[in-house]
Amino acid sequence: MMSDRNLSPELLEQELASLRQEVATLKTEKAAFEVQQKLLENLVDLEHSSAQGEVLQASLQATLDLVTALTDAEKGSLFLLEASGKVVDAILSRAEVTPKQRAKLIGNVLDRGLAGWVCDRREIGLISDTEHDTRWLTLPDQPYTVRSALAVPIQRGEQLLGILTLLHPEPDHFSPELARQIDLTTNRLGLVLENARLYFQLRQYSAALDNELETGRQIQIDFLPDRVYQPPNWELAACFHPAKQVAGDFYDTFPLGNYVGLAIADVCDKGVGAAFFMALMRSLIRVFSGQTQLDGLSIVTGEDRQLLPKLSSQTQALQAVELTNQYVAQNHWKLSMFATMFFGVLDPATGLLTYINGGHEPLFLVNNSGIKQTLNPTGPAVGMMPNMKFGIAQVQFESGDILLGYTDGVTEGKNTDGELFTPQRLRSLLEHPAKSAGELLTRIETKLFDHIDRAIQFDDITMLAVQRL
Amino acid sequence: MEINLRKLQEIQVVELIGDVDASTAPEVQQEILPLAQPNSKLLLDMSQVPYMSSAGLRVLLSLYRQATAQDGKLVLVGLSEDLQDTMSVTGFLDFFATGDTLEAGLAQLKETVA
Repeated sequence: MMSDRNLSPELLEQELASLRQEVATLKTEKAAFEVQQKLLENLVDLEHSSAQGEVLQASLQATLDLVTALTDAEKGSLFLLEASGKVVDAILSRAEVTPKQRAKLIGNVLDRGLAGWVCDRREIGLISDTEHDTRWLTLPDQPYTVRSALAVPIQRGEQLLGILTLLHPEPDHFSPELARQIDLTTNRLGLVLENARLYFQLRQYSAALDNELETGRQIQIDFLPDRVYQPPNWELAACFHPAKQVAGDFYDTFPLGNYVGLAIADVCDKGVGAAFFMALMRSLIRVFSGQTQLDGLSIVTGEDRQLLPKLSSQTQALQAVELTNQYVAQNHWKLSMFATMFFGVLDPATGLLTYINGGHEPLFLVNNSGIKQTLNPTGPAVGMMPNMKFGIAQVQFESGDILLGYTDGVTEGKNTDGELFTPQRLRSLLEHPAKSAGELLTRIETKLFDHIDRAIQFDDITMLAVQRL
Repeated sequence: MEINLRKLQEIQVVELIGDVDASTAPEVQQEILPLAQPNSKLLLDMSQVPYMSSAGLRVLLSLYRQATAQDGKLVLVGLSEDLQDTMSVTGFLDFFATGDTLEAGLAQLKETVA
């Protein structure tokens, strides 16, 4: 380019000027590129960091500090705006803002001064001397002198996400070139801010969701008995370990006249819905069994009553399962919710247990030599279809016998490699004699939690053990 | 979770690949429930479903109800031993027509045409 010797001095000067311009442009672009590069690194850090609000705050703070340092500004601020133009957050350079000042800023609309001008016009506001610019408002209590000011809108498409403001006590500090550099970087800043906004939304949403799940968990726990009922000469023990996500297991032990009601159940699926159905089904079983106990079959219509044979009071109480099935299948069929449920009525005087197993995992009656009887399903899961028939079965406890009921959270407990605990492992733990119902549960819990180790517990773990002393 | 749909004449074949649990069941439900149209014939190929939780059973129950209400037919094929076990304990197996293989399932659905 410079090899042409025939150029006149004017032309050479022109060439020189254009080269200077080119170099200046390149410098601007290089500086802008470097700022963008640093911002991008910042952004990557943000995305790689664990999802915590402080990290984001720190990241925006670092972004602002970086821009403040690169422009050699004395102070800088970053206002985050919501769609209405209201300030949702204010970040000031070098974290020199007090919480009180910050609170004062949030909620304001930037409608005055330089920021107001930028909000309105959506373009760069550069003030080379505040003393000669009507856009600058000097607040009466402003503790520092400002002569130069630069405000840049941060946009993402049509949306104004924030305003970056840089200040300096000397006039003519920010050149138009610098303003251009900052403007080039605002695309990146827009991205950071949009991420920030999405992140806040996500955090709010997930907090609301956590809250809902916690409510579900509380409902579930509230519907478990405070204390396991202890009839004389029997030992009852139970355990319940809720899943990370809410599920719908329950157990229940309650007196029914001279008898004892024993239930263990697993409502299908997970979430708050499962917790609600757990509460519903547990209540229906209690109410229906108590009612039939007190009033015979008063809830069955007169016509049906004629057809039913005379039932023992234990069998009457078990009608609760059929009634619950009917209620859920008829009133809540749209949700297709059901529960696998074991419900038994124990005569503590004789050791005879009359029960229905509605599609639940088999229960085991164990003695010193291992499993002596398996209590398999006598009918389908409860609530699946209306008009289901549930068979009634009986089992006799001898002194020392322990009945163990569990939910599939036990047999399907997964370790970090995804291996299940399996029914085989559970059965092998029942081969050795247990001193008490409580000891048997502790034995299983220990082995199960050893197996699960650090894996996330995906399902409720519930067990009920009943021993005749 | 992978859900493959294809039509073999008048039979809608749904191939599920992967575990059906609380996290994948909503997706399965959304995809397959609309397939239960009046008089539709549905075949669910479960041969590549290693595990199904109660959330999966719930989807099957919804599908069964929907299909029955619309006078449709539903056949499940390729249930693993574990799946059959789960469905047997809970009483589900009593409600569903099942077949060992895709061909057996198709034959069952075709019979009902005649």
